[in-house]
Amino acid sequence: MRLTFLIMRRLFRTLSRDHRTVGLVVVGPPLFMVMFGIAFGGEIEHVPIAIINNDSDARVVIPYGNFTVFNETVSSLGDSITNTLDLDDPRVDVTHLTDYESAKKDVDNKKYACVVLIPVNFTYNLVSPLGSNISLEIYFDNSNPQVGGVVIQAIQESFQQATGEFRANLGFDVTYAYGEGISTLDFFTPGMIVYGVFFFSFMLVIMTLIEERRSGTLSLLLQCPYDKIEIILGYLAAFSIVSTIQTTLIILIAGLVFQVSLGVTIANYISLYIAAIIVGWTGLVLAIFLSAFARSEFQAVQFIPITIIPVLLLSGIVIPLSQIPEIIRWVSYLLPTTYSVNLLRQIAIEGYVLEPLNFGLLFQIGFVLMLVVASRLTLKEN
Amino acid sequence: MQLLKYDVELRNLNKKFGSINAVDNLDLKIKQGEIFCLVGPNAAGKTTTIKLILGILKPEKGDSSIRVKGYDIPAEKNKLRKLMGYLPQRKALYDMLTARENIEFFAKAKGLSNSDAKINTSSMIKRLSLTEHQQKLAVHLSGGTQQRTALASAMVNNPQIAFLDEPTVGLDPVLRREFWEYFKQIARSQNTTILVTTHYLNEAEWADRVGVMRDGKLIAIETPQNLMEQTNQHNMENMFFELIKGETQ
Repeated sequence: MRLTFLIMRRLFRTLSRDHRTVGLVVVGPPLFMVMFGIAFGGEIEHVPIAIINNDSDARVVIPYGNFTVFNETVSSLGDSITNTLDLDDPRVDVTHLTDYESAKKDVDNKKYACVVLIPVNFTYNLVSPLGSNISLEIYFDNSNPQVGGVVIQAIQESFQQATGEFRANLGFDVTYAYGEGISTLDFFTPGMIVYGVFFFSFMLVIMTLIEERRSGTLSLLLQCPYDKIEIILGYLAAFSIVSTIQTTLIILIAGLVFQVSLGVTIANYISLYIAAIIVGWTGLVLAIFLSAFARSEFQAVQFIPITIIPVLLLSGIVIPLSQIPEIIRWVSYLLPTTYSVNLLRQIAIEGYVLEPLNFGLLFQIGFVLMLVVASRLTLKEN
Repeated sequence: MQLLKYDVELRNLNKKFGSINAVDNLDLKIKQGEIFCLVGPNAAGKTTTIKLILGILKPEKGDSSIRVKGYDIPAEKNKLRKLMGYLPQRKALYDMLTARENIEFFAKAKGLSNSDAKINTSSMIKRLSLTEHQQKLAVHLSGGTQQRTALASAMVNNPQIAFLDEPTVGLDPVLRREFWEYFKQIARSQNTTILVTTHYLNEAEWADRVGVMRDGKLIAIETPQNLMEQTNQHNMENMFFELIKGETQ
């Protein structure tokens, strides 16, 4: 028992002298809980959708022999549906449009999650016994099934509420812009590539660099007649190959074991690899930058709560951005991995081929360049 | 081209860490091809002096100057790096590279071409008796062999000037003697200037000149023989204690 007590006392004494560890012990658990609470406690809200409402009030006349048993103007159900979605439902933000074809293009370009076309004489056809069957057209982006499910649910509820008993003639004709028949695994795999590549690049590089610092080899390298930038580029080059290998392994296992398809064409796969390599770069430059502020592997691990956890919770890997409360959503928009997840999903689910001027790509490259410059400043010779 | 009389010229050098004067008004000149040994106890300021000379640390602001091989340090430190060898106090090796791979890596990192790096590596391996260890991972080498590998890595570019910080620390007397014989050999054959630090006081006898440091100050500069004669002592350790006694009085 004496040794047990001695060890306990020694541990408390050494830990209490490492201020960063004390900070982690005190601040870490509340920080974790707040991050999880905020991230998972939100609802999916304000998803932009478009509605084209061609319906109007209907004059409904029901004759019975020589008599008229019903002769009234029925208010437009289309207006009622639109108002319910527009004014009462926080899950969607409605934009009113008039041209269906141009609205479909907006869905293709990710401006809206869907466009709903309420046709001419919608109310008349539903309410009048003389009305014909009617099909409601929805053009739908299901590339994020978590968001898609909520949007479809909001639309269906508003139709049920407005049309009540007059639903016998109504059918839904859903056309998918993206993500038809997408499985949960199809959806999550691109995010897992981002998380896997980012996590391993970050951890491998920060550990390697701290070891280089501790052993003194980094100090020696900095005495060689080259610019520091070459050391950073050397790391970038080596870990690009590591990212490529990791991506290949994830693609192979996802495809062969779980039947996930991550691309159709060669151009898709090339885009996927380029995007994954850039994810690796973001983890790597962050690790190089932060390594200047850690003296040991133990201190490096302490960076996980401020790097790896926010990436997992706030990049849209598990929780859609529209579910993250607006008060902290700006953090998501600052994380390069938010753009990586978006890009990889576009490539894997929508068949997107990377373009040089893609905003997400440029944001990540900007992040990498900024941290390369910052790391050059923090790589101290002593 | 102007012939340099001194390879290292330090004037009025100061460095503080908090309130402690790690280097205190240091003036020093080292001639080309000379083996100069900075000797003194731990925390005397030897390593700080080397780090100031290499531009790793910045001196305090004031009227100080550092010139090495004619270059103004720290402004022209990158020019110096092509000509120099540096062995830090810690054995800086890549554990998962073999002894040969470590030496060759630093040869290339110092700017040697691939073919020159191979030739020089082989030559250093032979010269420092590393032949039978060259294919072993650094992590599996003994302390002495690791130190020899580190020295080979520092000197693989045949530097014109070498800064060796405690190169013999932790070595047995036989290996220490071998190291000093190597320093003498390259100073005589290649006219290499060597600044070496040690806290093994008796070892300083091997140097051409000795600078004795204590509390950041250079309290004596002389040849070992003259220092021992002036203090009437027969070895460097006794000379040091005699010097300190004189200082304290």
